[in-house]
Amino acid sequence: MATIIDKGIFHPVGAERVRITYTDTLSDFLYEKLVGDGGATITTSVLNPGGNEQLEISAT
Amino acid sequence: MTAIDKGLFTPVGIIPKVRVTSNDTTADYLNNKVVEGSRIGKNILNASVNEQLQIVIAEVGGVWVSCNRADGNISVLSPNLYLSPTGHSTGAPMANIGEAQLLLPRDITLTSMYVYSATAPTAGQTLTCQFNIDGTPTTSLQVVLTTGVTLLGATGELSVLQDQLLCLQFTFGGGMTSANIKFVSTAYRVMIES
Repeated sequence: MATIIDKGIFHPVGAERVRITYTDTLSDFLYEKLVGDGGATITTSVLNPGGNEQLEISAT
Repeated sequence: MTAIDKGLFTPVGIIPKVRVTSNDTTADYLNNKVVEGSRIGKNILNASVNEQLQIVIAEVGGVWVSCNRADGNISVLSPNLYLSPTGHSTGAPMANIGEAQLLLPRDITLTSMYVYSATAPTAGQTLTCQFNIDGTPTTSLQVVLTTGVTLLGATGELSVLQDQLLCLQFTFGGGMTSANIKFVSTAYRVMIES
């Protein structure tokens, strides 16, 4: 049974964000936390923006 | 920073799902949120325990094998022929399976196969080219030349694991006893841990 959180009715502070390690000082959304290599080799992009988003990782 | 941020407790009802951006309408588990794009693969490590999501880069390559007999002909003494990595010189069959097999140094995924035979099967005859893994021919990625067909390709996904034995196998059907195979090519993908 989906909770009200699953239904997106409210978002507690800190939920649905991620930290890289225990010592990470800032929880944030996945797109901000999982990054490419800064060049053209590994890139990230958001699929279905504004909907059920997914983070696509690609390598060239 | 809240107590939740600090990981001090997980409130009841808060399922550890993630959102991609602040505009994401559906929180979900990390594996469902990360999508494999071009040349990227992912694996779940330690399934059902302390799971980790491994991201790997796929290297792609191909192999092209030509038959180098002067007359270009392959005659057969048995129904199955095995293509050796070093090719064959004279005589038939092309190789016995023990001579042809490669011991794979790592996991690979075979993704295509193309076969060209200058000799087309005649009515009712077939020439089947398959990957043979550990002595067993596979059907998930194969080419079957039929009447009048000399060039044919197939694509698919055939996983072969490290330490398995791999070779190409030709099988004649319908009474076919010889062929003039000119080349076989195949493409593969290898996942490299990043």
